[in-house]
Amino acid sequence: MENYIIETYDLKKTLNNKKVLDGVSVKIKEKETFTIIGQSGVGKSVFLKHLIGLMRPDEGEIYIFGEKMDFDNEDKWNEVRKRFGMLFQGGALFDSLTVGENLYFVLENLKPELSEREKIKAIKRALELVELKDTEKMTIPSLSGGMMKRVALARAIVAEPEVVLFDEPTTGLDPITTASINELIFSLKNKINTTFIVVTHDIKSAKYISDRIAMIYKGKIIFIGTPEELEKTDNPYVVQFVNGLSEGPISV
Amino acid sequence: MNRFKEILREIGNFFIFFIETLYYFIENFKKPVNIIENVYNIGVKSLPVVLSTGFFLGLIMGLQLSDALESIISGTSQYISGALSVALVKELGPVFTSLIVVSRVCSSVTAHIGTMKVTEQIDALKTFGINPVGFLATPRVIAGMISLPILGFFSIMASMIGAWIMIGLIGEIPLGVYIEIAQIPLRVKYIFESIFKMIVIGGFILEISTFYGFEAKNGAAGVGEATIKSVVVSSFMVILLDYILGSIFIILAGGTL
Repeated sequence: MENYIIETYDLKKTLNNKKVLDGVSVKIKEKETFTIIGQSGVGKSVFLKHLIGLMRPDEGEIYIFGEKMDFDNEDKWNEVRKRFGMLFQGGALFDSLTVGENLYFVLENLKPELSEREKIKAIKRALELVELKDTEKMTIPSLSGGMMKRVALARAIVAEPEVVLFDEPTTGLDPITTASINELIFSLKNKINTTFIVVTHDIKSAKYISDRIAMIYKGKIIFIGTPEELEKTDNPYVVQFVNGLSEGPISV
Repeated sequence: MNRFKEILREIGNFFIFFIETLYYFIENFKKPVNIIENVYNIGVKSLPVVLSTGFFLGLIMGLQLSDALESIISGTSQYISGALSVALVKELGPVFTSLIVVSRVCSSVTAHIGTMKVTEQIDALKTFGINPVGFLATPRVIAGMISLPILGFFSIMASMIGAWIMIGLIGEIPLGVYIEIAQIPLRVKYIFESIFKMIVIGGFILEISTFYGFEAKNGAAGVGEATIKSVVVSSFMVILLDYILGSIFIILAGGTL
């Protein structure tokens, strides 16, 4: 039997009278890179936020590490969150703290049992993994867009999570920086070997980093498969999205 | 009708938020670093503006009132110190200081928390297993409750000094007389009432400003809107709470002053 780390069943969520999720059921395996693609505003980020308990579904169930999650039990969610890391769309770095302090803050709260020396070692390791050595003292506003993403990524992995969630890791970056972030995610995967769940509308990134890709359209999963299957599919929605055509069944 | 529903929803949310901040009170006192930092930001940094506005309030009150009293019966301007001390301790001091704190602190608190909300920093806090209300709101509310009575004390003192400088200049009243007359109508009870009032108002205005920070949505415009609401509602609540608490004190005293 396959070991599923996250399972969702028939998730439904309505925001501002709009059905954002309309019955999303997925099973995510351990140690795979699972990517969710789709147009902007179809509920990809909303789905991701359900997985870490930042939003509660109107209907449906979520199982994490085989346990059913109860949205009224914040303590249980906090236990799960200790095993998760999340890269936010805009970075969501605390701008009153330096790069090092941002990472330290995470360890202080998620791994209070570590000694001071171990914490500093973990911070150094995380920054090395994202190729930003010796930047602990830099302030957040002084970072460039690409660096900010890297620091946010370092913050997401510093506590050695078992699952890392990526919300649009390459949005708003130039093509070269995008490529380098993709490369980074790919190499990071080999180094820390955990489950990655990525949300993106960047089809190139998705193909490059993913083991499996799912596409969301109108709140429903309309395709799940490997990048090769994505190439070969004749699903008209997927074909239109992958090739970036303005004409097809998807209307803007 | 929609607007009415929106207001009801907001009041309901505020109530839940209020209880949530109270829930994290004890936890925050166990690790007071956050409280101390906020007392510095809310209290200590407000001191210059509270002192200077209080002082000028005293100056103008001294000038106008002594002039008025002098025009009724000449040679009586020293008696305004008694009226001033009671007015300042009971009403003017708490309300005036609170309004200054609203304009300086509440706006910045709402904008700060609101920006954190729209840039997902609040969500990030949650993913680190931190309750954002306990971490961001409760220490600020406690800091407000600690800071406002102290700021109020300094403001009242600055006003009394300001008034004395005016009366001393015009009416040549010696300081000893001024202080003595100021004490005659003042009662210890008034001072306790004033402190209590400022603790309640200080906590409440920070409840409101942190609440609107958490309510902010839809980017920079949303933060701006939240800040407006925060300042307007806090200012209004300062006056309303002053009225309610003042009435309660009178009722508790059996209808007499």
